[in-house]
Amino acid sequence: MSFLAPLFLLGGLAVALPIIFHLIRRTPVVQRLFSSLMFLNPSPPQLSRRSRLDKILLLLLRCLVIGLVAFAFARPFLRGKVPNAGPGAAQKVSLFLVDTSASMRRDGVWKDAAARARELARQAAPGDRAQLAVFDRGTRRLLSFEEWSALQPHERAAAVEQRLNSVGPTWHAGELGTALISAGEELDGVTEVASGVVKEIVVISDMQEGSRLQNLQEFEWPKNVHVSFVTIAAKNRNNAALHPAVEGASTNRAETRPLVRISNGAESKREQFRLSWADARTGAPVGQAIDVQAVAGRTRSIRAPEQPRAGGDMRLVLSGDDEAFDNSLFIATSEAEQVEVSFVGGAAENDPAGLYFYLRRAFQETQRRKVTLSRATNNVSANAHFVVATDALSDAQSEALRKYVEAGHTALFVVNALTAAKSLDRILQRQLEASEGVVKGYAMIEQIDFTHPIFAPFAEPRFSDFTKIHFWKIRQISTNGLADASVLARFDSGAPALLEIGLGTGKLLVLASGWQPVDSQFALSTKFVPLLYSMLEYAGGFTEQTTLVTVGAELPLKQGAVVQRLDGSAVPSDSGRWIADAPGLFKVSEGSKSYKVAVNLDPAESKTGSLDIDALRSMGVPLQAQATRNLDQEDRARKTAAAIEVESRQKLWRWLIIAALVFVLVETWFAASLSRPVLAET
Amino acid sequence: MAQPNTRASLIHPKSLMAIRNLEFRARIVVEGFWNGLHRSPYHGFSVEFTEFRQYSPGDDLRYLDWRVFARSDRYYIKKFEDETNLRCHLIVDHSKSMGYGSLGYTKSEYANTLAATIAYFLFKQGDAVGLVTFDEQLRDILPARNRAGHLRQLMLALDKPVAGTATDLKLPLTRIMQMVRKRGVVVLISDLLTPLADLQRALAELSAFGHEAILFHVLDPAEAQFEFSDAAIFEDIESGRKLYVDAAAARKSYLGKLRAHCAEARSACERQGIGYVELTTDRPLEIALFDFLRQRMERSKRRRVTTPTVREPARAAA
Repeated sequence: MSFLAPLFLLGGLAVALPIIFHLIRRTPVVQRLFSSLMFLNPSPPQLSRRSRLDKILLLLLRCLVIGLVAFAFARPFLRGKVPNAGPGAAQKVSLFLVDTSASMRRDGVWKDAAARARELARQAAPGDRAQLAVFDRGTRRLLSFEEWSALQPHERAAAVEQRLNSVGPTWHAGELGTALISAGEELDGVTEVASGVVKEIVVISDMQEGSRLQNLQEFEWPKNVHVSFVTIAAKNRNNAALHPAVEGASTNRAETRPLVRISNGAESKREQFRLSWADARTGAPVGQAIDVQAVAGRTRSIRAPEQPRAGGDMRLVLSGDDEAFDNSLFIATSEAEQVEVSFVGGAAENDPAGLYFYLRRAFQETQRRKVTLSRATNNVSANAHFVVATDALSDAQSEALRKYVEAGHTALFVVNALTAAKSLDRILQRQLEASEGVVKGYAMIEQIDFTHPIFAPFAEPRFSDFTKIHFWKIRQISTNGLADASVLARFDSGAPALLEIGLGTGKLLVLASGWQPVDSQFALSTKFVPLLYSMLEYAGGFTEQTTLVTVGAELPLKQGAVVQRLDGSAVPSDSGRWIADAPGLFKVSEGSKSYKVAVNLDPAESKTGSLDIDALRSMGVPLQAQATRNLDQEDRARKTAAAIEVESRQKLWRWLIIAALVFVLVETWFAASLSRPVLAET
Repeated sequence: MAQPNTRASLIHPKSLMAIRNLEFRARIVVEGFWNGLHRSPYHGFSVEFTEFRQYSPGDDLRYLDWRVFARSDRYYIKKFEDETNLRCHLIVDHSKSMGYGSLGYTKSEYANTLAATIAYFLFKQGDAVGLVTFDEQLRDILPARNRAGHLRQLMLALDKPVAGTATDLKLPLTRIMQMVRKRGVVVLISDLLTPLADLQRALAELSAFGHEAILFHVLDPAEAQFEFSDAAIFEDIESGRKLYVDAAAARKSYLGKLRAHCAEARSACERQGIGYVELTTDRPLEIALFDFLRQRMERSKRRRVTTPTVREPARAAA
């Protein structure tokens, strides 16, 4: 016996009413006026059961009527006849896609997700096929269709849970879009053995805002695949995150108060947080904490407090919210790089008509690197990262430069006059045809090889316009007879503007015009400094080291480079790249050089607000009618529907109401027959 | 020495009390009583007591009864009629406890009717009737007279509602003794629901003054029998005190105490030679009146034994 509306059974409590009325009627407080109490002794009231409840049969009838009505309203039905929806239903091919992104590290979320996955596996019909996969930056399969089918139906739920517990959430950002696409393709590839097979992707995720969906827009969804979402709600709504204000930026020693970004969740109830420094390895707080106000749903950038001990491995810690997974910010401090550039030539130091004057001003010291420009007289230091040569060089100078380049270095030779071309001949030990170029008004650079590393940074259209640089005097240098020479840029006359000539294992760059005002206005151009730095980088003068990355970033490693954690243990890396898979500070050693890389959580993972499911629908994801699946509710709804059907067939309530009416009649008759003699008496 | 012969002639108090006018009620009782009296074997009985005494030198010759002298050749002095007339004082309890009644009328109404009946009876005989009503203090005091209109005044005083919250029996008796120097009849009508210590002393004094007294102890049948079965909160009609009493359980002790109380009152009366009549309010008033007369007759017999006097033929029978 089951009930459609069991709450109505509470109405049965109304049987208390007739009982109370019967009791009230039976226990009057008789007050009798008497002439005198002088002969009376007080006697304690003696309660006798008989006097409490009288007319038991009448009471029982009344209680019975109320009970029957309450019972009828509860809509009882006999459970045995509920049809089981199990057999006969269409076979289902499911792909359970469990989110393992960093946001699943929130309190209780992963445990809940695993339990839901287990529940889904348990509810699957024995004939269903299913696969279990997890996703964060990529998708990993944990249980294939074959493994699923090989398992006994009762073992599947446990297997699902066990596999999920063996992985656990990672630190990566969740690429929901990519995961959905790969799952859709996977399901589309499943051949159907019977008609009417339902293919379904069940995503078990916290559906946080930061999940990336961009790829979904271009994806054409297979026709018979549906997607449903099981949303795991986090227990705590209060989450604030700490991230670097500038992505990819690193700090050096000079910057002890890095700019950080504090974003407070939209659903957060708290606005007061504390920011402090802590030891990177142990997390023990160091120094004073500062109070930070952040309005819910807003992000604010602030300067971190002064780093208490310079040079140590530190991290910034935000406290005051409920979820700790995104509260640490690791910061790698790196020292400014020393770059040595040699200048070979005769230009005076403070002569604005000379090349050196502009070169010295171009290589300003920056936070990241310190370029030391030195003038070489006869010998070119092998330690110099880059050499700029110009003017007519002495034989010794030419020889030194040739040796320098042949040793595998890179140098730039600026042909600022025809006399300088002679020096070039000596460097290359070859006779080049050089003449003063014919310029009508001014010459411009065109036909730039943007594929070359020097020009690669200018490849974007907004940077690629070199026509603003006007050249008044150019030298026409013929490349005839130079096998390993390539023209990186030409003047509009067709003459090479920038040549790259292989010399030994090194490269000699030849610029066919100078940047001094007599030759051109190149030195005044916005392209001048970037191009020089580009050359410097090409020369291997410095490497743009990435020191601040997010989890999941791929870092290229040089041959023999080793990545270590702070405690000295090596991090496995393969074939010249390393994928950062956990936040923290890492030390990358490349031969004698080493630098630190700070790996932090993807800021997207901290956006823990709930994802708009409708956004998915607008991207063409074939969602089931119910946007999000609530398993319990679904199961309950199915059972309720079946129960309603059975109840409407049985209609026991009618008989109960009829019985109640009969009892009402009996009660009326009985009560009347009881009161009749009383009436006769009076 | 027997009860009136026919029961049917008696009027049930319930029917009697349906009559609102007190005087009328009294008249009905008295006239019915007389009617019965004519048929009764006690024909010639008289309450009027006339005193004769032998002539002694110095007595006023005006009072000499010449007819007796003619018959017996002896001198007898006959007192003036006025003097010899009965002075009866009715002392009626008007305390609140008298306001109790279980038969549709209260003890007070019954007592008033009884007092009115006696008063009417005596008044008709030409006796002087006075009235004292009391509760914890004296209320109305009417001296004994036999004047036209006195009876009406008496009835009005009787008809006043009960008010007092206590009963002080000693007070009216003391007042009677102060007020009435001549010997007379004192009729005390009360439910005696008060400690009796004072009563005994007062009755002794009353008796010592030579008054003839009769005490009607009026009780409601509910008080006398206490036939309640259920438990209830009993409220004292006088003091308002409340008491939870299980009637069935308390009945035995109640009756025991009541009987002891009545016995004490009776013995107090008997010790002083005072008539004691216990009346429940369902008894016909004629019987009560008869009791009154019988008491007086018995008393006069006793007196006749002790002081033989010449007896004047009954006047009342006439």
